[in-house]
Amino acid sequence: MQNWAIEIQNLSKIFGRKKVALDDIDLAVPEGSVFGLMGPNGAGKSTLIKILMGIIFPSSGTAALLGRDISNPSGELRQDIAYVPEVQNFYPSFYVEDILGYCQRVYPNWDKKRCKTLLKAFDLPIEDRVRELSKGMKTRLAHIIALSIRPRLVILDEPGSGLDAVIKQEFMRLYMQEAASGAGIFFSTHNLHELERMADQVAVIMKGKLLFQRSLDEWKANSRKIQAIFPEGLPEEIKDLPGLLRVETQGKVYSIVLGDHFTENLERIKALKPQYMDTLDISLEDLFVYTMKKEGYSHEIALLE
Amino acid sequence: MWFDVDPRSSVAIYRQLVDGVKEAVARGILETGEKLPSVRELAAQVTINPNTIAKAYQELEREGIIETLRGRGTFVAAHKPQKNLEEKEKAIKSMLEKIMVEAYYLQLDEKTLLALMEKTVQNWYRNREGV
Amino acid sequence: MKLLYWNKALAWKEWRQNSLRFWGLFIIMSLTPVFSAIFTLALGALYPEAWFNGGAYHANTWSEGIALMVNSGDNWIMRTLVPILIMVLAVLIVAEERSNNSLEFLLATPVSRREVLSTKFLLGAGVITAIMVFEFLFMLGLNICLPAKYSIGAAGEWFLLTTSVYLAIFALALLAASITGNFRTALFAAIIFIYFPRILAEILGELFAAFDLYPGMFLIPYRETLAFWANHLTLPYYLDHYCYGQLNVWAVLLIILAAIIFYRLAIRFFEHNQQERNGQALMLANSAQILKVGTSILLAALSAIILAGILQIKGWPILLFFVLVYFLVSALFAFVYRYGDNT
Repeated sequence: MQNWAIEIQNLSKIFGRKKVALDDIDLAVPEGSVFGLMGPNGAGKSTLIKILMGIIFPSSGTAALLGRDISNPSGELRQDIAYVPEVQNFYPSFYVEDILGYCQRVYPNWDKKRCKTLLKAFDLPIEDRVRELSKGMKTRLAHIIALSIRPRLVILDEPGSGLDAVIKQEFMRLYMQEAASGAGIFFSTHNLHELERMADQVAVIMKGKLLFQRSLDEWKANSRKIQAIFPEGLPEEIKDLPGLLRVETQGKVYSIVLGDHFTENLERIKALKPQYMDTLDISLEDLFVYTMKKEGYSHEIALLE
Repeated sequence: MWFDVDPRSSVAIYRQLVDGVKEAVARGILETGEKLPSVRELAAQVTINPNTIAKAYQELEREGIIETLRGRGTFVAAHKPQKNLEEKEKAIKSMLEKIMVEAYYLQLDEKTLLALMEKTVQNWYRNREGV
Repeated sequence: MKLLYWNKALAWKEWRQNSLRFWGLFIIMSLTPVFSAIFTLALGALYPEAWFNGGAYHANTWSEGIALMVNSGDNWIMRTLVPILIMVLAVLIVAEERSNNSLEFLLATPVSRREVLSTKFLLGAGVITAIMVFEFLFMLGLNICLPAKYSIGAAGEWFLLTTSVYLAIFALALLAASITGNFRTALFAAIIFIYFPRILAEILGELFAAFDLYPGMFLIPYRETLAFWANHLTLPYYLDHYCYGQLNVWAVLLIILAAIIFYRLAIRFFEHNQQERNGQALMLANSAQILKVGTSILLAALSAIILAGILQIKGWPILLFFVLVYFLVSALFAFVYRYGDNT
């Protein structure tokens, strides 16, 4: 039987009376996987993560982290789960030392040596009060804590927001090392380059709905942009291609963007006898944008005058 | 370097790694018996998903380009993959055909193309010996 | 039923966070029995001849303040100030977590919500009890060593009642804070919970009189009955009416029981009051609505009572006026909410 790092079933969240933040989400993250959660602003990524961490409650549905049900009120289930939110909420009046003192007492597998090494490597001023720290320093502190608890699952909400590129890269390396040692990593991001390097599985959520979850390699292997010229204009059949994301026209040339079933679709297009045909690679970024647009998330603005 | 990857390419990252190692071995940048970094080390070094790296290493091992010695690490294999001539020819031929298409559109004639190929092949072998 | 969820790491954090407040409380609560006694003793030893108030300095003069306090509860710090400070402390230690958003950090660590609130209560209640025990032992010790104007029995009775009322106020304020979202609403709710029954009874009594409703009509009780129940539902009442020799053991037990019930309820509500949309009393669905209706009724009642007092009239014109003011205030609220929210 497959072990899941995160297993989410029929999860919904409704704020107030009718603001649906999450709508019937089903998601399964295999153990040891690096899982990227994508979605436009306000799609419900942070809400989902906060529900997983027990900060807010789902309206319906269930979820389990490392096989432990999140509805269990006990805190033990989070003892080897690291969480770095987008915005850090440490006690402003505390010294960095106090924050670490609390963590050291509350996490059973706290790695003092590792923490010390990291504090030194990332120049964290431990005699400072939290309110004196910059945003970046607070985020560093959160990452250092996350790595020091020897996590089996790491949940990151927009990792790197507020960090400079060098520091961010360093932390990502450390997380990849954790992943290589068997920890599951679940992160939400807008940075698709980062996601392409690090994730093996991705999921896209939009307006609270899960569009799909799949292996990144498979997604990329099945997605292409096909440029073709047809003697008698665009055949009707093109519109019925499975996984079609978009058709663009530039003069005689049609750009057919496919998000799935590349080989099958290629044969079908060939059968339509195009005058000219070429296959282009498509970046994850484009793929994401096309997928969003297909789902009606569009902010196309006419040229500004 | 052989482990540089371009995540934007539609070529899967593990494929890029496999090709990178193969090229480095063919060019003599990686020598027989040389130790490769472990999956953990490489993952941390290049910030790439460790599962992807493990997949690439598995593929390379299957093709006989590297070998893993239990407890000691991963090394560039001593024996190059032995395929029969027919298979080798088939593999090269399909790639050559792609080049032919490009050459056709660039309007290179047969003679120029052959000369270019000969020169490239000669240079390549000379460079490799020089390494 | 498990009652206590103590978490050492949380207690450590809680102490780090609040130790200054606890020490402040200790100093204020020590003003009367400890500092006043020491001060008078020292003054008496240094300048016995310079004693004022017309009287001479006696060996038991040091105990005058304590005697007033433990015999008739006559000490404004312990009777009025400390309950307020304890209420503010309870509200602060819960509401601060929400206003800093630090609850979000806390809940992502391996602790449960009930541990968070339980540890807060146990530490706070522990500190209050420890201070009170210290005061009592101090009074006991001095009473044994020196001639005093109070008896050990009085000190004991005062200690029992005051401690139990303090604990109940602490638990009730914690309950108020756990069902609300931010400091202001929490404090507002705490004040209402703690002091409201008496105020409500007064207002109702006046209003019944102004509307010309008499006892018995629509099951309206006599004002005395109303006041009796309201007083006994108001915790500070017990401090205000303390008198040595009139202590009802059952009352103390009931107050302690109430403290335990408030604490249990606080845990229950805290577990269900989630960290969404800061500043909302989520248990009460919509705090703004409740606040609106509550304030409208209150304002209408007050203006009806005042009008009745000024014009010396009773009955239906006042009732009409009450309804009118209620709708006027609600309309004003609706206007402010609609157009005030956008700014």
